[in-house]
Amino acid sequence: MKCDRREFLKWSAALTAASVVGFELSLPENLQAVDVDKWIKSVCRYCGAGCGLYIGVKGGKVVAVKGDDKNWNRGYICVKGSYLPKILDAPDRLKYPMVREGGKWKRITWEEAMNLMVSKFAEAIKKYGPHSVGFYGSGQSYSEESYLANKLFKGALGTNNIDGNPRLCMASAAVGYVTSFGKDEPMGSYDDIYYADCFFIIGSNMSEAHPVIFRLIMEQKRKRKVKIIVADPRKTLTVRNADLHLDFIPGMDLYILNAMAHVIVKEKLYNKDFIDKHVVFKKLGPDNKPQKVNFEEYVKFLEEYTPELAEQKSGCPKEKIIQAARWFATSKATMSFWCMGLNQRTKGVWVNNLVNNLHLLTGQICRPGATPFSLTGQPNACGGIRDVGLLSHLLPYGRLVANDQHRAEMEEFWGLPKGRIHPKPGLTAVELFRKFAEGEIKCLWVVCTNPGQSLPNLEKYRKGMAREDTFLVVSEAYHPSRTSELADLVLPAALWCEKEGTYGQSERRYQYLPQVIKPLGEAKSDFEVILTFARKLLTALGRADEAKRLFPYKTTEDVWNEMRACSRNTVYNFWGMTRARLIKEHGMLWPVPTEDYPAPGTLRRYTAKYGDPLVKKYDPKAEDISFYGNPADGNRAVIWLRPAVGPAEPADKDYPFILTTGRLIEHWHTGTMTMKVPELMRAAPRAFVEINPKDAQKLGIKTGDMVRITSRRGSIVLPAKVVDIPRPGVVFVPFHYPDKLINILVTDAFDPMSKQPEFKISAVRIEKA
Amino acid sequence: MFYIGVLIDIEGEEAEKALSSLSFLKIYGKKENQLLGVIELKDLQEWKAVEEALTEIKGFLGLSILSSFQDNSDTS
Ligand code: SF4
Repeated sequence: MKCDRREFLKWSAALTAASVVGFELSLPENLQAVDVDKWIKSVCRYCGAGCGLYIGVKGGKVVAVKGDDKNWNRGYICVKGSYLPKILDAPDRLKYPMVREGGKWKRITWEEAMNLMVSKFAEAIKKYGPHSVGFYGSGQSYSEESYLANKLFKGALGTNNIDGNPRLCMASAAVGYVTSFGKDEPMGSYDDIYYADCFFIIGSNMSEAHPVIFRLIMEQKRKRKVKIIVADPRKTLTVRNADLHLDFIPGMDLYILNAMAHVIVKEKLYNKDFIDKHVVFKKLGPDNKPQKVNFEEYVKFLEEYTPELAEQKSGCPKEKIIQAARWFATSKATMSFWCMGLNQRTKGVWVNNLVNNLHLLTGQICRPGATPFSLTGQPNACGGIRDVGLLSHLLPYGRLVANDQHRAEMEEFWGLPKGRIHPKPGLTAVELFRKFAEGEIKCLWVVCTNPGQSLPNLEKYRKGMAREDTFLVVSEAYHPSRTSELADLVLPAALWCEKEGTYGQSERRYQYLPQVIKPLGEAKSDFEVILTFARKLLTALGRADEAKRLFPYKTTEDVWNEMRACSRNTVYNFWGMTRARLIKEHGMLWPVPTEDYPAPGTLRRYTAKYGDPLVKKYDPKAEDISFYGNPADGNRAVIWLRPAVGPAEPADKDYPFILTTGRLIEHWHTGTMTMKVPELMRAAPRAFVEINPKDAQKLGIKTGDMVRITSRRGSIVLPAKVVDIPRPGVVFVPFHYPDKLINILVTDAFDPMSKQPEFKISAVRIEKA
Repeated sequence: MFYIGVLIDIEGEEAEKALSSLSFLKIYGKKENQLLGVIELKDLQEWKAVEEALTEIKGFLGLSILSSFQDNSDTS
């Protein structure tokens, strides 16, 4: 048999695929092996699903990937993951540090770059104090990198002006978990998919945004005929696979969720035993402080939220709401998934609470298949930001800046003088960039993220970033991005398998990513850069002793070991996840309290019966379930009375359409990586606006016509795609495209509890351009 | 070029026959109701056409990507 290169590569792909799923395939005689030198276990760089994969290296280059069959994804990856090798050698990779001089970029050495950065930060701190500098991190950085940055800013410098881009994507889910269950992060895991009979998906287009998780659900649908309910104002690919679609006016889902609870109570489908043992009820009192109430008051609160009222307010037919409530309550096990559609809202925390309420009301929680589960957009938003505490109100592992005891604990752990950590939470993402625009923050360091494209109400923050009298440093793998183009100094960052570290994805699964190849050009890992900067800055501030004492690390493993110790006396306890274990295992889910605690760790939290090792530690009297993160309420979870409130900017006569933004399967976030892949770019080359055919007909718009979209903040012209996906009155624009900054139009109103902006709902008008 | 190793779930022999005749797909093996194949792609524009062609086949239940090889001699 003749085997040319094409045949050879095809056989390589086939054999590799066969090995992933245990398929027997015999080699043609003249084919010796697969076309790579070695396969190295790692994790996908893109979404929060966190698919395990192997990286195929040949001659020092990444040439292939294959799914990890022993990881949760069972060897499956999605089309974005399959194109990962291409992101590494894109032509616009930044290869050396550059400084802006007289409006032009000039190459400089690392030493010059570090000296410049240190002198600017030190000067600002000396002149204006520590709150004049800030850091904006990322759910894509490795956990060790974020931990270091947090220790530097909150611990060593004494400012809490350090926040991360998960503020824009999952802060509401985090605060939702804390207010409902006492502590952040989901209690369930992907393993629950195999046991659930009913999936309630709201505010998430899983089929495109988290395709491998959705694949597991679809597999269950084929095998066990499970029910899928999807609540979404667009007929997405996910909706097309649903058994029941709740279509509604964006922002009005609080009515639907309260109406579902109304039906459950009215039809006595709630779990009284569970409520009696594990739930308290609360509402906000007149002073805006939480107040305990009883079940009867909750029932009374729900009275007005009839399915009829929900239909009237949301446009979703009441029969569908009733059906959804019945399926949710009566299935053997119901699992909810949600994402940005709930989180990016001015009532994001409340709407998260309302989903959690349904699980608590029906007892669909803390057993296999029954769990609320918030999906995450970025690969390390959970492990690297929420858990590490790289948000301006947090300290590591569930500790809070505003809590005296928590600050004292961290000061002791880090070896800081008492009172070093400032007691007031710092600026959150939007506030941080507002203060930078106003010149109050003098120096800002942005690492591994693209706020020049991803912030809402973008124009005013972009202007702020471009100010001449402030200093913006951007660590990036690609240049120019819509942020790095505004910077004063850009630092080349190693990407994905060019460096090592840990990711923690949405099911509390921590995974180690090894360095596989050398960084391109002079790029360095952010770990190395943050560490060097910390030591030099403290030395420049006359605190060389602290530089040595607080930042003594030689390797990322040294930091990892400190992080394990820091988690040890918390509900996150992952002391048992040594680096060696993470290298060997295919991901581990915390808590893992001891080094001999069996892999993969804890699949279900808050239930002793299903394996949470911490229930007995924190609540020795508990027989099985204990929400031990909430001792203040007797280890019970909270059902919140949250009135239905609409969005900050509903459609009106001047701006009669609702603009909602989101993702396409081909691209990821601001496209800095996926737009370097010609195959992905050709598939989804340009931004567009989806318009419902009924609206298009009224406005005389056809597919391909140029359409002007105008909000109170700005306007943009895009080609129309007339398609029956958004409901009438709603238009959709993907937010990936750097040449069409849709976020200029988006409101920066944010949730008062989570400080997460309402990206999903802005009022606009549309007209033919 | 990209060579994507896939697992295809099918129902019935007709589906297998129809899949075998697709130019972009080469089938390498079969186990019960699953076929193991490789899809050859120049770009993702083709990927969409591939998905559409597959969805139209009666008895095609689903497709999972397992591996991907990039031809480095190709600069597209
Ligand atoms: S689903 Fe997400 S993590 Fe998995 S391969 Fe696709 S992009 Fe990567």
